[in-house]
Amino acid sequence: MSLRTVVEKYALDTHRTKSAWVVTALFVAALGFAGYSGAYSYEGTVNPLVATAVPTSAAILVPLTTLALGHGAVAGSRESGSLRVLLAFPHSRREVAAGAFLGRLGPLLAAVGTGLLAAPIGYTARAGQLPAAEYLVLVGLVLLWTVFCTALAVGLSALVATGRRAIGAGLGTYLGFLFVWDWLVNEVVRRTVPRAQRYPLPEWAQVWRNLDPVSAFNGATRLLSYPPDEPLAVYETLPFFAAVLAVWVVLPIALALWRFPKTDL
Amino acid sequence: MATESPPAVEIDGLHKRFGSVTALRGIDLTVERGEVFGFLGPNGAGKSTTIDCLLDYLRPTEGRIEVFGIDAQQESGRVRQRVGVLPDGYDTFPEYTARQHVEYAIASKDATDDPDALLDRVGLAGEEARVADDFSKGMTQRLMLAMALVGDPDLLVLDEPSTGLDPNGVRLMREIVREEVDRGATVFFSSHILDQVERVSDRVGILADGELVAVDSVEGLRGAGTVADLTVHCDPLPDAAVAAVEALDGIESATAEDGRLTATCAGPAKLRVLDALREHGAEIHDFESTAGSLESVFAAYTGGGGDSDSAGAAVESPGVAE
Repeated sequence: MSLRTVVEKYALDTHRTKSAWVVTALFVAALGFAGYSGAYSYEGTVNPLVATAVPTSAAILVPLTTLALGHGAVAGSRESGSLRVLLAFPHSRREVAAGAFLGRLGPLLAAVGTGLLAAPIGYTARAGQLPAAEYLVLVGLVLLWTVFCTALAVGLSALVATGRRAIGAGLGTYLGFLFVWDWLVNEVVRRTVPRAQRYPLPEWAQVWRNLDPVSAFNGATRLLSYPPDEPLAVYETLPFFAAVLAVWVVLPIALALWRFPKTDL
Repeated sequence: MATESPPAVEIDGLHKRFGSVTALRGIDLTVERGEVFGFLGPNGAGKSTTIDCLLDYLRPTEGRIEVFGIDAQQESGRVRQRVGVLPDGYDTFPEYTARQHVEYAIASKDATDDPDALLDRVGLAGEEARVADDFSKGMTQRLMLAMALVGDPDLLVLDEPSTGLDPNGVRLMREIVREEVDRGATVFFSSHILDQVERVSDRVGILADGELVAVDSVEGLRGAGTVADLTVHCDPLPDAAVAAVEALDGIESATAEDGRLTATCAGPAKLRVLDALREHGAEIHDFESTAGSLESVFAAYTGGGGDSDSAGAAVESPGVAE
């Protein structure tokens, strides 16, 4: 009951700020256009919808919009003082952290989901045929990606004192996954593996490179866009990437549920 | 609730440090059921820190707090179910109307109150549908009070409730406190304004620099040993008379201006001031005495005052300082 009150409050708040509508419109426009414009290849043949700019658009837009809507979920109200009103009532800190996550997640999934509906509409309008069923796999991946990005944004929001820091931490984490993660692998390989054996990368290094959420999402969508014609190692398969993403969903939320109850507001 | 049930608030050896800053140095305090307890102290004394620990906004460095026998840290949710809170340093929910605020409070406590009736009670009738972002500070305080009253709490915790209130608002706040106590509630509130504490409190605790320096009834604090401001109108008022007053025991300060001598002094010294003035050639036309300002009461309890022990106030020994 208590968690439900908090979730409802956060979900309502998200709509009340009107930014949820802006974000929905953004996804409809971006993904709808990606579906429409990518329907034909350069050679004039019809492209599969999963091979359009939809995955790339999602890879870029989802982290930005979730951070925009999620960074203030806890830190912003902590900064303004409205968290003191929220917590003047019998909700536990955990319920507030979890409620903030779920309450933000609903509107964000709705926004991204609407965009994912717009993509096949744009595609069908242009290509004159419905997208293949594998598009549903892409939908699942993008929604999972949205869950992860929201978990990261709201989780960080519960771990820092101000909304500004939550933005900084969110961007930092995202860029860290994008650049530092692979660099780190390469550095370790460079220092531990003799030059002659560095290419191809040792298997443990290849696994490591696929263990961050950004690589997992991009790796998974690449499998859809460019279906491989040779057998894949386990750590290159779609289920593996999806599992990596799912684990990364849990991590920031678990950290927030553990730390936030102990924090001085 | 049995008669031997635990007190409303029991604070035991409460310490709070923020990095190298020590905000609370061992607070021990019991607030009995059904009383109005005024928590008095200047800004920065640690009033809000104590209340924030009670509400689990802050984690104590040491010590424990129980509310109706429930541990305020381990079972904060249960505590807040029974407590109505008017916090300090808060902000309203963005784009929420007054009614939506109260509805949130009702949903959170599983209560059955009528939001409009509560808003009417705090003087916000007609404002129910207005967005609270546009409220003045005084209206916001009234709104927070309405939220605090949801579910007929057993304990009301009001942190500086009169902040931003006009005189009518202050009176309303006082009336509501009395009504709540008549209903059987306990009220624990903080203020830096002695007058407000005096008018409603059964007992008062004085907090200074993170220590509880006195706990007593208002009468006890105003007793013989405490401090008052004395103004004496004289013509003439020779300098020698002023100097003689300044030299008296128990005088905090004495200033003379336009034939008016103003002295802050311990209670018994008041008569000695008048005697000294007359002895040194001053002719007294009129005099008035006001009860001590917070600052002067403080001075009595935190060093300057001298004979404050005779007040009969339960001056507690300072807690173990770090």
